[in-house]
Amino acid sequence: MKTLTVGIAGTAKNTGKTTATMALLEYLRNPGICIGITSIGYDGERVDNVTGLPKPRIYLEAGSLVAVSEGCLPAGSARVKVLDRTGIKTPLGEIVCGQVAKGGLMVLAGPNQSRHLREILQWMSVQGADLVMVDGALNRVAPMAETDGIILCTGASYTTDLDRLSLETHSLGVICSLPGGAEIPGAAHVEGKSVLWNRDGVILAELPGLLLEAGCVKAMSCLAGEAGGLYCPGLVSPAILEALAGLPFREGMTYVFEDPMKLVLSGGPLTARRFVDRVSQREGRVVFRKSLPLAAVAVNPFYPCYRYETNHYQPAFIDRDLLVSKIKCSVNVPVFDVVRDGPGGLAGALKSLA
Amino acid sequence: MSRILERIMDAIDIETFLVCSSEDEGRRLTLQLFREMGFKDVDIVFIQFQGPGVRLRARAYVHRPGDAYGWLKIGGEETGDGFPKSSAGSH
Amino acid sequence: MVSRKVLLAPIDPVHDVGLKIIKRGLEEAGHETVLLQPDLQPEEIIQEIINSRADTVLISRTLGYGVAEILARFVDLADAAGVRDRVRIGIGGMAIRPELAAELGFDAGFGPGTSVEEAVAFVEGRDYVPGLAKNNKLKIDITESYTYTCHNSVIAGLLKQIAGIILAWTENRTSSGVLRARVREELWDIDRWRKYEKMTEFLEEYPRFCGEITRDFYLKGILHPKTRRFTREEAAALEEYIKATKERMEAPKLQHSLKKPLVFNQYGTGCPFMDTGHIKVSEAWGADGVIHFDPSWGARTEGFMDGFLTHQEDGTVITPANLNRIRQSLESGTLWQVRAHRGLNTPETVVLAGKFQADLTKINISYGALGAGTDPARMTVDGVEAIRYAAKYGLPFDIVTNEELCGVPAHKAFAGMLITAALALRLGAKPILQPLFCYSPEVMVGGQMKDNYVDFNVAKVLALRHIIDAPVWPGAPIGFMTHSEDRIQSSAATAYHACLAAMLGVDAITIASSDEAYSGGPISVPSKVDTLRAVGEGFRFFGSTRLEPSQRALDWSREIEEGIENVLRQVADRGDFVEALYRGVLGSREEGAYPGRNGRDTVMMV
Repeated sequence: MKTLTVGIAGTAKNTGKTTATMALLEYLRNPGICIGITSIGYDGERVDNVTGLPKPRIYLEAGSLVAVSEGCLPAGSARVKVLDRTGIKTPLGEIVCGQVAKGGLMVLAGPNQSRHLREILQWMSVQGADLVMVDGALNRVAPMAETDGIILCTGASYTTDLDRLSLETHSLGVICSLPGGAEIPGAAHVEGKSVLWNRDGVILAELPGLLLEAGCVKAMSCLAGEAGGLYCPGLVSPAILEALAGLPFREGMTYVFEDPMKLVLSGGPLTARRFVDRVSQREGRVVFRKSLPLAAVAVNPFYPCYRYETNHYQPAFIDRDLLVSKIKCSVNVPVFDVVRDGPGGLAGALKSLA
Repeated sequence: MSRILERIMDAIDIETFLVCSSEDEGRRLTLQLFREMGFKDVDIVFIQFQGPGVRLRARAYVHRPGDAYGWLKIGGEETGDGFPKSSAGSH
Repeated sequence: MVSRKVLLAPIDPVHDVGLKIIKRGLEEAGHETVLLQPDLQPEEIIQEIINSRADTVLISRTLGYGVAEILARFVDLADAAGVRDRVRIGIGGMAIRPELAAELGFDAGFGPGTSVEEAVAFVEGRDYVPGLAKNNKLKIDITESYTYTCHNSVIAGLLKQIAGIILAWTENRTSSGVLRARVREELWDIDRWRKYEKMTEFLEEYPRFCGEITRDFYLKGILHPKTRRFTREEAAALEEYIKATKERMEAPKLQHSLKKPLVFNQYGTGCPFMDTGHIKVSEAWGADGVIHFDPSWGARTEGFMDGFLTHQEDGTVITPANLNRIRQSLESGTLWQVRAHRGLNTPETVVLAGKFQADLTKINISYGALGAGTDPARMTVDGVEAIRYAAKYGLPFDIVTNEELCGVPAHKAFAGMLITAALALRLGAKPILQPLFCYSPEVMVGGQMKDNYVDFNVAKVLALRHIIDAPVWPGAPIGFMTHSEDRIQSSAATAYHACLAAMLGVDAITIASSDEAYSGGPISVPSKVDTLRAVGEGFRFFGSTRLEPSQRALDWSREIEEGIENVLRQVADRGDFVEALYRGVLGSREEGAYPGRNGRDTVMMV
């Protein structure tokens, strides 16, 4: 059976990534399922590294597969049998892969780069993991492109402005629902380069892999009339994204990006969605080499309220029901408040990725 | 003794400023404060009275030299270190 | 080493001072650096990384509200842009710790107190081990660079004459202290002791030369009433404590840009366990050396017990087992002084210090006889023997002049000190001069410190330097009699005296804790941290600033030197050092010096 990997991504700190991860771990506890877990951040600690507020802790069952920095091993009560060393260095030591020999609490800090996460997921797959969960870090999304799909955790900790929250969540939902598996003309496979081609697939121009500087727009504007497609393997700056949508490309232009996260990182979900909208208005389409479907959204009404007078954080909450109903209206995937609804729905939503 | 107090290597000092009308009053209040906090082995290390009150540092010994120290988790039978019971133990 | 190209980027409106310091360190280490302007957008920094072809990036940012997300977004951009594959990224700033760096996705995190060396190690791709660079203290022999040449020929002649007189006088004399030291030296083998082998010959001989308390211990197994033996569990717990603490230890340096003075502090809580706790704290807060402080009754008792013993009063009992345990608890770079200077066990203490590989000891015949209660004749016989062992074991020793605290004027105390130094040089040992930096009765009455504490202390050091090229180690502790129970005042007083010592370029100092003047209970460990921190701050403040002696200091220094010469002449004229001690030539009863009575009539002719 193919290993299913799911990323638990957040829009900020304290949006409920670890709570969602723990709920899934608890729900999927079954001797027949081999679970693997790692984190691209630092999870399971007693108090938050930034706010100093208490955090949920991660309990791992015996038999689970883990990939963590060596420095985490003595920090929890779980005992891990190290099976492999990866040579991947982190501020907390080398990443080691192993199996939980005795269940217990565990601090998880794993690989924080995409390429390293790729190696770890490969290892988990070889070890026979059925489901691998990748706990996220703050608002980091780039490494999540290595997974089969994500659960998005968002809520008051990102913003207490519910209108903005639902708009951004909607935008993310739209971007993640765009198709993957996009083909590019054979000649466009130039390592690390962006490429512009005409309707016959003939290469018109090679451009930098990262579209961050104004020069590249100038180069494209002369060729816009002939162009049929553009592929960018890396990032686009918000300004360039804006400019691209305004270029005199012909109708039906295809924009190919590597994965949804690269587009989201190019200026944020709102800018990215606006770009998608403008492209569709002109009968064009935005597609990805690799898709990253959104399986579900988990919302969290909690937020650390910062007190300027005393320079510390206090726990605070927004209206739970209002949050859930607003987000439900903004996306086409299931929305859960894990603390209230329990983990069943969230776990069920994973089926859409399989 | 609380588990955290056991971690105190030797003494706990409290430094503060008490509003009072004389050094004697400051002394009395300080010692009373420590007693109310449950400390027994208490002394005033430094006290200075000026018009507004006393600047003070008061101390309670949690572990005096030779005690069984909480930070070492100890207790039990004597070592055989050295003479004349040189049959066992370690130096 | 491969030269690296390092991009330094402050993601901060203003805070790039730390990066500028690191930039300089990296350039000195041969790396190419580019410092970006503050407050660029993350995308702009990514573009700079690509354009500059940097292989390492150091970001600085003070953590605050919402900053973690900004930093995480930067890492995300770097990841998505593909630069993480070839560029290592570190983050530094207030509140940054390795856990946070890991959470944010950086390769390393540098918090407050990060040394430039740590940042350079990261850039050079060496393993990032926090604190490794700090933990490399090496022991220094402060006597090494001195010739011991006497610049004052008159004083040189007098010292030579007096040393001759003393050696001739002691030639056919001995004492139980001398004999005990010899038994300890010849019949007590440290390797056999460590293996618990019974040393029958030693056990037969040694008690014969002991006093009642120690004889009872060996023959009847009775412990001194103020001591108790540790339990086996306590000993095991101590070992565990030392092991765990050593693993976490760093031994920082207090001297900032200077190499000296080395900073010593005393331990001697009565309990070797508590001492170990204090020693580890002293080391961790920068002390270069620690001094074993034994109980006052140790000076009056003939002989040492053995066993791992704790004691209820000030001062930790000297026993082989206690010294052994304490020795094992020290960091490899910590200097260890076992003082022997004043009592009935002086020569044997030096033998034990030698066998347990102490680095330094402490001997002074005049002080032991005039300020510490030991009979002058006995102290002289035992002192000379102690110096012989110090020479044999290569143990430099300081010559403390604490009789000044009784009221003996500095020049008389110094004359006594120089006599012991002359004996040391004659017998092949390495003496260290220890003038007191103190508010002594002499200056209280004479008014030399009415305006400041500086001039007279400067005068003392100048006088000694003018006489002989020898190491100087003011003590013990510096600032004696200037401390109060207020820890701020007390720490400040210690720091000022330490800075004066540093500005005079002396070799070492002994400092007190901020509990120095408090007599209501044992010294507490936070009080040791207080003065070490204060001294470190003082050294940081003055750096290598030197002090220009005032005219008054120069005048007093000449007076002290003349006074020393005058006292030495009187001792030489008398032709009998011990008699000179009894008669008050090196400190009189009127001045507060009383010839000691411990060990009176115990000197034997051979």
